[in-house]
Amino acid sequence: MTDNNTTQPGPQVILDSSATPGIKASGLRRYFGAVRAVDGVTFSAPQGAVTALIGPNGSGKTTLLLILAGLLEPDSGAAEVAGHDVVNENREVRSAVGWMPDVFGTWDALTCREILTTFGKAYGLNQEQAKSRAHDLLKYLYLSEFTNQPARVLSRGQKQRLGLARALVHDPQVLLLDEPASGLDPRSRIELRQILRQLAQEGKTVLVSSHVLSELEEVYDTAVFLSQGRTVDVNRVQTPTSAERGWRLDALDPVSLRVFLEHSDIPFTAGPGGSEVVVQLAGYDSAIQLIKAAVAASVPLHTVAPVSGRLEEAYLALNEERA
Amino acid sequence: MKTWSLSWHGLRTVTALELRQRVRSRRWLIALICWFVVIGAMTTLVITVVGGLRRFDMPDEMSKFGTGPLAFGLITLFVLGMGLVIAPTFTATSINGDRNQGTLATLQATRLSAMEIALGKLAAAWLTALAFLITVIPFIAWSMVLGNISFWQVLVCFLVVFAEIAVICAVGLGWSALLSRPAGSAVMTYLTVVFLSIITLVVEALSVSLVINPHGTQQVYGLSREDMDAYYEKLDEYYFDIDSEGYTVTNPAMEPPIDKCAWYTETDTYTYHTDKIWWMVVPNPFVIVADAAPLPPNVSDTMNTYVAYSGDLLAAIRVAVAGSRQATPPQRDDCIWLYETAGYQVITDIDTGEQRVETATGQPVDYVSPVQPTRAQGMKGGDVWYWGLASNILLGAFFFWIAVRRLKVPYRTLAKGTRVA
Ligand SMILES: Nc1ncnc2c1ncn2[C@@H]1O[C@H](COP(=O)(O)OP(=O)(O)OP(=O)(O)O)[C@@H](O)[C@H]1O
Ligand SMILES: [Mg+2]
Repeated sequence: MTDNNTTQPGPQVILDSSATPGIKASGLRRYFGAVRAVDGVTFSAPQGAVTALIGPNGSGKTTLLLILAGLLEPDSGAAEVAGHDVVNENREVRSAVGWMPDVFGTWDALTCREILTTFGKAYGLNQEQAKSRAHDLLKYLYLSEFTNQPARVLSRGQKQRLGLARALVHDPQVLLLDEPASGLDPRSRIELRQILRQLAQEGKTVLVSSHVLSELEEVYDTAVFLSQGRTVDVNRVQTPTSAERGWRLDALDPVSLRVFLEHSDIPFTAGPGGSEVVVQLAGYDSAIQLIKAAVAASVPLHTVAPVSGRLEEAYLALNEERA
Repeated sequence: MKTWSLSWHGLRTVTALELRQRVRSRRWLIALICWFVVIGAMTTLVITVVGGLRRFDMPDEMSKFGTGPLAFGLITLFVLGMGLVIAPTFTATSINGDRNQGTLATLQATRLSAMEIALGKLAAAWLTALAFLITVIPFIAWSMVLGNISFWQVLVCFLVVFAEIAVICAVGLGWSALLSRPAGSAVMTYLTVVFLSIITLVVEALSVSLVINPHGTQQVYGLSREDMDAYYEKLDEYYFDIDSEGYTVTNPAMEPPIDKCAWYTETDTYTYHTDKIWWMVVPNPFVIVADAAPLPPNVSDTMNTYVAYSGDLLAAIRVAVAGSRQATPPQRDDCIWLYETAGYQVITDIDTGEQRVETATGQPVDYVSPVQPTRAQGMKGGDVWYWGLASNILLGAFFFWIAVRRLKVPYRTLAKGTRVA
């Protein structure tokens, strides 16, 4: 197993590279008839960190999470979650994992509190423990006012938060969240981010799949890319030889920047920020050359940045590879 | 295996979850009220009609048994029938319904074992069934008041009816685990009920034609044609002997000519070999309940009379099943029935199948039939209900096993067209 399948740690957190992985998967494969939903997944997710699981629709994210949650048996390969084998120590895995499905089904007739206490008990808590845990979680996720409301009246975002509370009810070591941000408003997303960070700080292993890349951008420590059921070596797709993409340039003196670009025969378009321009560059090397040339030409350049975020770029590179 | 592990805590958690949902939904309250009203109306009808029958000029023999057995038999069979109709709704969409709602997988992802989830669902269904049965107790008590029903009889019938409904709940659970669409599993559960309670009867009835031998032979102990004609001529006179109250009297001078009875062989006679097919009705829930119902204590030696005069449906089914277990015997005693035509009564001992003759007033008559009683004629040792119940419980256990197997995680194979989540 290599670490090539994960990107470098994000800027906020310096990872201890010797940290024991909370999730370790090697060669996982799961076919549904002719559909290769998961077709060779190898990665590890460290403890105390948020790992993003990224891939286009149908790339097998949900299927992979099901395998890790102990619900689906892999056709081949092995995975250890919280130190337990997902097949042979299935019950231990299920006890250690908090799994949040992408669609959270609710029991029509049950109140939010009852749902949480029921699940607390399903994880082996006794009545009092389950009750106090439910109370704390409802408060933690700003659902207190719905304590005695039937879950079916909740809005989509509220349901999503209840789903997260449900996954947290037994204080699991490993969290597997399938698109937890879908349906959340910006404020709830920020709260979700804070929750994920806090969980990671408590030493939990957090694996989050999401489409909302800007979402993960702020919170993830490492990322795993899936494409057609396979983990993708992101370092490879991100090599400078990859296709051109947009870079955002801005200078204190926009006119000198434009003049410089025209002189250098570099086509540009006006960027979104008024004085900004966007140029197409092929990889980091071209960017470095452009910066050197601009500085040499005394252009007061202050911003050079890819138009898209790290994840988005990798994600797009992924799609290109697929095409 | 972890799949089959069972803890009280886990079982209670699932049962409470299922019951809570059920109790909250209005559907169940409405169903319970409808059930109470329908059974109540049926009981009232039966008791009124039976009470009306009573007011007719009934022979003493009938009034001796009271109207309790008829009312109780009808109510028991009706409760069983209604129970078999509603039992599928308790479980038949339980697993695939939860799967479609997306609630099953979250439950399976917890520490709960497949056994705990399946048994919890079944226990919740059983408790619901129990609630339904408990609501009909007032009506059963009502029929007890009408007489001749023992507490023992009520208890056994109640338990067996409950066991039958519990079996159907397990069958429904199995189907709901097996099929992905709730509509499909509901239909299959109803078909299973129809198979057990109707198809078995129909198939047995149709199969009778296969076991009739139109060219059978039988040894008959009886009168020759001429002696018979002579006897019937005498009988005509005999029937004019009527006492002051209007009843025929046994004329001691009018002994049947049994000394003229002799053996002869009847050929080309229809013989029935129902002993080859009788077992088809053994798994029928109605047969099981009827056969298990204890008889009133004072009827054991006059089974046919009891059935004829009391209208006890449960006993009637029992006698019919016991009768169908016997092929046409190789020997037949026509001679003993001459007594019946002469105003005596022929009594078949329900335990041994031995027949004896008594006068109308119950004095024994010295007649020994030359035909050996066949075992199946007797009722004792002829009980079949435990075979039927055992076969049904086995069926239920099989479907429950399917349900647990289908709930086992991690899934190796998924039913076509379903997702885990
Ligand atoms: N039970 C199943 N039976 C048949 N095919 C399945 C099943 N589950 C998943 N698949 C197929 O496997 C592939 C991966 O599905 P999966 O749900 O894991 O994708 P995903 O990455 O979660 O997609 P999305 O981002 O849309 O949620 C898809 O092509 C899907 O059609
Ligand atoms: Mg998905």
